[in-house]
Amino acid sequence: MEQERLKKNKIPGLNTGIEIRKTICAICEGSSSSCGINAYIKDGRVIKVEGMTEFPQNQGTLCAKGNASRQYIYNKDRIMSPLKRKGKRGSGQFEEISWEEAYETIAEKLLSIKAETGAESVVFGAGFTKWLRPFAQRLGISFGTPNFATESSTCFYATQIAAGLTYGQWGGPDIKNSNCLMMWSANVFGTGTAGAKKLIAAIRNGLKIIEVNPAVTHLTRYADIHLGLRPGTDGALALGLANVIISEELYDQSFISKWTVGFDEYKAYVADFTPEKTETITGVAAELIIKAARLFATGGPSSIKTSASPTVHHTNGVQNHRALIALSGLTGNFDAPGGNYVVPETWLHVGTGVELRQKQFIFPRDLTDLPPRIGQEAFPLWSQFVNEAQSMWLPRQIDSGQPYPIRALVAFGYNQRMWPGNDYLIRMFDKLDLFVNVELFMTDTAKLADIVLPACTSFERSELRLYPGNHVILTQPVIEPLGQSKSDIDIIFDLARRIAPDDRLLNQGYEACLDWILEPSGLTVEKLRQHPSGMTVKDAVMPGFRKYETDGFATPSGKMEFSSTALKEAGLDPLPTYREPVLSPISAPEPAENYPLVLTTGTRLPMYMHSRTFRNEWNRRLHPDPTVMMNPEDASKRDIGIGDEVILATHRSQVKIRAILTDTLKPGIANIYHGWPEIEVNHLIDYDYLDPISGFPGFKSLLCDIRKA
Amino acid sequence: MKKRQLMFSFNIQDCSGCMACVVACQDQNDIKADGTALRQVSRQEKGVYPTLIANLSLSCMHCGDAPCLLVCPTGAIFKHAESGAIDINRDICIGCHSCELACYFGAPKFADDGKMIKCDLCIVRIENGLKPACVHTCTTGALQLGYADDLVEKKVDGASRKFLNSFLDQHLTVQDR
Amino acid sequence: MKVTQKKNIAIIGNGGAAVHAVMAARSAGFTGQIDLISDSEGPAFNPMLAPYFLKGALTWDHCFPFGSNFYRTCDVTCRFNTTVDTLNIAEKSLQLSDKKKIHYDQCLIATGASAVVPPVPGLRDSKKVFTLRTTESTLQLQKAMQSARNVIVLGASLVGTKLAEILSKRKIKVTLLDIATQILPMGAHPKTAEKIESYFRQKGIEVLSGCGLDGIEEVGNRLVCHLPHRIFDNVDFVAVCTGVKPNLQFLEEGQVATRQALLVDNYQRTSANSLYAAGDVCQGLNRQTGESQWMGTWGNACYQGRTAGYNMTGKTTSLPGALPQYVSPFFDWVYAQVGDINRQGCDIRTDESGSPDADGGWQLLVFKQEKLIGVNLINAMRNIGVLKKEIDPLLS
Repeated sequence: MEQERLKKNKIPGLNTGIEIRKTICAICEGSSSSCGINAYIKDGRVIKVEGMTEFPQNQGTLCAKGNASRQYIYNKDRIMSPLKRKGKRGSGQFEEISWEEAYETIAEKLLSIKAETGAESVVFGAGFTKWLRPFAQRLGISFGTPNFATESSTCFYATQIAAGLTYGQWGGPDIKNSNCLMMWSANVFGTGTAGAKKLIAAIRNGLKIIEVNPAVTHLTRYADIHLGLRPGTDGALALGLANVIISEELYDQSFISKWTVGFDEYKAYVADFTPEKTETITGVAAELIIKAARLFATGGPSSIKTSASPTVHHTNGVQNHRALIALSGLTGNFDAPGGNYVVPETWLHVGTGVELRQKQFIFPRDLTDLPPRIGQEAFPLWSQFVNEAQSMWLPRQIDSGQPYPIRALVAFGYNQRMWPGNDYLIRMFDKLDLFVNVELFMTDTAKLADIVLPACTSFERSELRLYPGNHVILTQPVIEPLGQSKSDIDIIFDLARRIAPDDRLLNQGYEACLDWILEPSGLTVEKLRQHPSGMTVKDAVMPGFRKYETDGFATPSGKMEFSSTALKEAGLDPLPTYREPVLSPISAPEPAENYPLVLTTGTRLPMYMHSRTFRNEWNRRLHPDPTVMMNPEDASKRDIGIGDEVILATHRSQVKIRAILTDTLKPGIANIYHGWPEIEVNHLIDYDYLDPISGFPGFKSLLCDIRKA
Repeated sequence: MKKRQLMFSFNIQDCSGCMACVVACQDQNDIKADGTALRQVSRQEKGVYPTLIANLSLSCMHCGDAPCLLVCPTGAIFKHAESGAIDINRDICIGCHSCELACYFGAPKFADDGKMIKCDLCIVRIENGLKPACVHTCTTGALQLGYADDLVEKKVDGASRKFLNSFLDQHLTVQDR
Repeated sequence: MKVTQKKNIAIIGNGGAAVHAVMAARSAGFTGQIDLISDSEGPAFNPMLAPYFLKGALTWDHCFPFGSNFYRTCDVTCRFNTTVDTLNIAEKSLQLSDKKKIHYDQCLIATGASAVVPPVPGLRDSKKVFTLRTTESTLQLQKAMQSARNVIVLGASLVGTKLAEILSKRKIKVTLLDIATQILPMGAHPKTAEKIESYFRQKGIEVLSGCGLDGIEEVGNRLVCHLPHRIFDNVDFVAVCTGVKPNLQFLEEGQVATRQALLVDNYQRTSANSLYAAGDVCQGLNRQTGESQWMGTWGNACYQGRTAGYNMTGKTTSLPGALPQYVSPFFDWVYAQVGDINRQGCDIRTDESGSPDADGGWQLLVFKQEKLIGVNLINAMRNIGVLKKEIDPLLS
């Protein structure tokens, strides 16, 4: 009786046969994601999940998506065997084939393409999450192609470019020592929830917050200042803040004179961005701009936190981002305690003091030894700072065949809805000789593939991950892979044997590669296996602050560049100049007559992550219908009531959705989540609505109108 | 031994509406997706800037003097002696819905077998040194569990500090003049 | 909290009100003697469970929610199979049917109510006519159900309607009669009644509203039942659910203030000194209308019993009346009524929305001068808390 009660309540123990095994969640990724999980296992099945208490990253917490893991793992839509297309592309007609046949087909095709038009005609790609990327990219390089095209082409890389152009490198906020944190379009409450509790604790401990966000968010109640700007005007706001800091002489004179170039031109340029003018552009009250500038400059140490993409999903994205990160150096907070602390990336874009051989592993050869990447000519600056192809250019190169044809795509979890004007990309898939998509489910993208290879979840595989604070984990599968699904890594190594047989390291297998990658840190696979919850590397050496004082800046001038040498050479504005989004009420007054509302797409919902988790019914029921958030004034002008069905239209397309009326948005702004499977949000956007520097789509500043359906 | 009452403590200021608690409870209790969640979060936009939104996470309140317990005709609903948690012996539940009528918080729900099901404070987890699934997962720490007397003390302490601070502010302002 | 020692309490009755009074008295610290006088033998039976027992939803021993250990645990002196011959208010004594006489400091009348059989010719004498209120009548009805094929239920009250459902689920042909123009005449709006009547007909129950029983006769093994426009022969039995009357037989005329039932205040005090009443035997405050009203539900009886128990032992507690409310599942529907649903007037407005089988169910709201005063719900219990809050003057 008691045992029944314990079993029913899933109490772990010998008497119930329920065991807790450790793993991590791989639904989302970011600086406060990849949460540790306790998987409750009984008879080889996961019967419950919860956050791992002892895991430093999330300390027991877990979001709505992670909590629905069982519905993800055991979803009826899981693909159980390799599939080969038998009907027309996109018809969804597939037949089951063996792994052997799948690999043989793929290898034969890829090798013949290599022989015919060169290995560069093959693109290796990856979606979320990023754990497999070093291996997938290595595979491509060893095969001979420079083209590794991932969704990071529309994620955080543009911030990396902005940082590269300005400082050479950037770092996250050193919150522990900060007094003032400027959160610029960052939201840890809906996404990356592992950071939520820690942030609240820091705020209650006295951390001041300047929040920059078009909307009122959960953070606003904790913020000392909220700057509610029109989407796309981030650059102007940043220059407005700089204006106050400079005119009131609150900047770090010593740092400016010793360690920067172009300050005088910068100063002359920002002189124009008076608080009043900045208010006119951004919609943020002049006195708030002044208050924020003063707080940031004098209330330090001050740091800045951004998130992957909101500041760079604009046609002026890179420059907007350069303007805002410049405020760190301007106030002497760059690589300073309590400021933005540069910790070089060691694994999967995470900076730690644990030394690994990531770069060496990915690049057994130099990219310069290989033909130019996709998008290299169109986005030369992208190519300078990022070692991947610019995926947004993929459909264009498939279409034109220039400078060489693209004939095959081997993708690990591609989502065609990450591209603007994704109908174009879908048409281009038809021109490929081979499209392989590795996926867990028959997604709308997998449906377009020639071969679908079944991948498994993080619960069914082993992955290496490092976290800020030097915590390292090498997970082990907590359950067997379902059906014939495999870990992506196994697929990569299986393909390596066939298409890159000369890569000796790769062909020694996963563990040998891991040991090679880990070697400088003294860690081994064997050692990590003994720590199922991961281990914190206590003797990891963290870099010091103000490294520039000894090493200089990794820029052409060796200094912080208000005026960027690389931009100047490329014939672009060297200063972080402000330009209106190409589609804004100011820059496009005629289109704005028919489409008067500023549309921002892609703001997070806590139960979804891009296109993921819609199949998890527990998540779907939390927010079942596609919606747009709009201001009640705008709604009433259009005779739209709460929950009404509406048509949201841009010049390119329209979608039918429900309206949520909210005062969290100012009048004139509409906000829509992008990943809905039943509507095509990205059809609303032109495929070439891109930032010319980064190639990033202007997802977050567009024009639209909304009318009653 | 003094009878103590365990209860949920919910800080409405901190709840971000992430809904992790809803799903954690469904996962713990194997609630079907089209069944009714035992814990629910509602978003209300009624406030004043900057706290425009209030998110309210509610499940059974495990009332000290539970109306559901009193009105249950078979005595199926009972209170655990050590914790004060309100629980149900489903073997003798007849699905009459009297508890649903009596509750002001909408806690009693009904499963496919017609019998009542509701949050049981994860009492078996608590008995085994674990936290309720919702409390364990809460991403902001808004939802917690504690003994009523401890929580009241904490709240009183917090409230008196608030009062003291506002008193001091006032006092200083007068001084400055 | 006064602790009364060496005093004693007499409780007449052995239902929910009586038991809760005992529990309240003991928890208030009362250590004196508690005499419990009942015409039946313990443990306490909950008549509300009778239909569920007949349905097979629970076993017989679970119809006694407090169990038999209760009396020992609460140190109750049980005088079962005993009735009260005389209640002497001035003397504060009870003359019992076993010739004993007990004195009390406080007395609680919690004798409940009994089913009424209307004076229809043949009804009161027949052995094939059953009510549903006591343990005996429940077991008799259970026995009769086993071989029945054709039954008439007289009175589409909450009990009668429930019984009709149960009988029909056992594939018995049921005819449900009520002299009122609708079923559920107390508490259901005509529109609601119409929906439920229609639903019942779909389930194969013949519902005849505005129709009474003229008379019945026994013919051989069966009953012949005369309705105004029809004759039903071959009826196996008639179940009478036309209402209940409080059990006040032991009181003399005018001894204690009575209307439909014993009048009590918010402390459960009757008009007589040291005499309390709780449960179906009395009528307390309808806090919505501000008037005294008989509201015979299990929950109300328990709350009243507890209030009486506290007050009788010195722990002064007031029960601010009750809000009329009721819920019952009927087949796959869940029906609920709260408040004043049938008020008439030019300042009354009703609002109907949804559908019983649609998501969110069906709601009928009744407003008086734009204030919500009553609701009927079918499969719409999700909103019950908010609706009760609106209706209840204590909360709104």
